[in-house]
Amino acid sequence: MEHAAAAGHGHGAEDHVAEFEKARLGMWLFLASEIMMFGAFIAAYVVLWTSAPVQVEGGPTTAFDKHHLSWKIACFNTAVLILSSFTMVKSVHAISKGNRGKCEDYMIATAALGALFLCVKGYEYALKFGDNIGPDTNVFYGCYFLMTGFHGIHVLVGVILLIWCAFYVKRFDQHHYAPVENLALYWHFVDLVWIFLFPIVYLL
Amino acid sequence: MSDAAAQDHSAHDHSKTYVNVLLALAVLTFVTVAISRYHFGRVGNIGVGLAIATVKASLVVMFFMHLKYEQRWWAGIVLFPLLLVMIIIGSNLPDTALNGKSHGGDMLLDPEPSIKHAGKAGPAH
Repeated sequence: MEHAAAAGHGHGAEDHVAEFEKARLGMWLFLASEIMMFGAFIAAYVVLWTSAPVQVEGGPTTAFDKHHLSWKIACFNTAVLILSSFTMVKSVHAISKGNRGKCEDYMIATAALGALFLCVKGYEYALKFGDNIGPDTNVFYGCYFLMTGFHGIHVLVGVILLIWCAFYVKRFDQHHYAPVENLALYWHFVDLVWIFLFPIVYLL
Repeated sequence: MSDAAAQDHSAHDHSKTYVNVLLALAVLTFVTVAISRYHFGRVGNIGVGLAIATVKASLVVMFFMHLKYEQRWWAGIVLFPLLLVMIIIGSNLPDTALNGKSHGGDMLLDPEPSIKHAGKAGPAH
């Protein structure tokens, strides 16, 4: 990884690299717990989904009727999150080269894309509530609001952290940027969750 | 990562890799949507959809999250919880998706719900 270029720079550089590795390892362990949490949601969804009768076109409404969902809105949001993952990795790349300006620019772009995702998600929720669809409509929408809601909260936390990190970007350089790296890991994880939610919830 | 791997990795500029991964993710998203328009059967659609999602996730984990350049055992941190999730899902399938087998139905095509609670919009029982 780019941060390893710190090795061999000045006194205590090896200790610094070891500390950086520990920070990343800690973040990966945290993400493992997040995998379990979202994994439990998805497992519950799959169990309920595979237990429910198949929704037939023109047939009676089932517990997994999701005709009101818009895959086009979700597809747009997928593109937004994928693009935000790219800007995030570019931000890490920039700070690993010591370029604070570019790091900050890419970080703000990531936060803006995250905010756009939330706005679109809010619009989607508003459409559902406008059609009197809520978490208690049927089993599917209970799962839908739970999974996308928790994911949305993670995006919101990520956007707040990105703005905070962009504000303090002057504290980081090519040898000290563990918070940027860990924030990037978190943000990519949020993207990962959506990569699975999009086909499972909207397409299949 | 090891020092040797770190120095080897840091010697490369990954900008082109990141662009390639972005393009691959965009193409795979398009393929996911396009394929969902076709019907390969319930099992086929689920399998293809999840397979593409897994490829996309692997690209993000390996290249954007740099797991490819970390120590190999770190992959276990990701794979172990995924294995547990698979066990949770798999252990329930005999009672849900696969229960059609017990009375001659096709896997995942059994129209009879095994859980007969369905909220407001569910079938009346």
